[in-house]
Amino acid sequence: MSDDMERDDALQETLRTWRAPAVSNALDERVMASYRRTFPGRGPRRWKFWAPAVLATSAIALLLLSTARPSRSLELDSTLDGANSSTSYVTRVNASGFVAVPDGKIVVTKVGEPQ
Amino acid sequence: MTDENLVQAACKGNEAAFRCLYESYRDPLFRFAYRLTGSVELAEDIVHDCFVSLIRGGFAAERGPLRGYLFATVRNLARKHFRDTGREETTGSFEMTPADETGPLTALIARETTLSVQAAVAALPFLQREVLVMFAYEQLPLSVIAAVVDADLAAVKSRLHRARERLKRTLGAPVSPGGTSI
Repeated sequence: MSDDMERDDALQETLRTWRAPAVSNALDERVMASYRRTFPGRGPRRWKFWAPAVLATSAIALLLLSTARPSRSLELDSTLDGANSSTSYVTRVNASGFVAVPDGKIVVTKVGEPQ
Repeated sequence: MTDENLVQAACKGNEAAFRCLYESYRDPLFRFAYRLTGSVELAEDIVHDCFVSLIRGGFAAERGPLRGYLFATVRNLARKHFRDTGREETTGSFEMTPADETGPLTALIARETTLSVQAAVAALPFLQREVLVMFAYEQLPLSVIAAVVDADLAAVKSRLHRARERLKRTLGAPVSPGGTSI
């Protein structure tokens, strides 16, 4: 009884009319999710390869941002001080030393005006 | 890279190695589970659990090749299901895969033949069904089948012979998809 003799007959041909459905994507995702749960924090190799590059880029970007921030705040300060700036309006509330007025009277004054 | 090397790498967290194994064996294991159980959902559960067992270190290379281990795991899970449910028959909710036939008559004959084959295979006792499915559909050698079902070669041949004889009786003179009586 050889394998070839067993397979090469009419019954085999009839049996082959029954085809199984294809595997669903849901199964693929489920199996890979189970694998990642079993080995957490071990992503695909390409992520491991790129991880140092991403970290270095992030560090450089943070460094550039930290050096850029002072000049930006200087610009803001200059607009605050410059009374001749006609297009920039900055609202600033200085609440230091605030004392509630006993009679509930509210006085609004502009910066620099005598109270 | 051998299967054994891939398993070692996969069990150390190498996802690419695991994916390679999964994509190599997913389809035959699913087909096997589906034809054993008759249910797509159950077959998917079994294949999932089979790979979970693999990554949890269930495979030992000294006990045989990976293919035999995976088929044996699917077989054992299917058998457990039948034991738990107290029945050996498939669910009978087979899905019809569209045939390639063009004419309506040819398609109808193919469909009838397929339904007859599904019912006949599903009616086989489990021990005969598993041997027949591995041999006729997955083309596994008898020696591998013997290892999967943990039986000697003579027992596998005997089960296969009985299964085929029973199918011939059940299916009678089956009609081929081309319309020729065989």
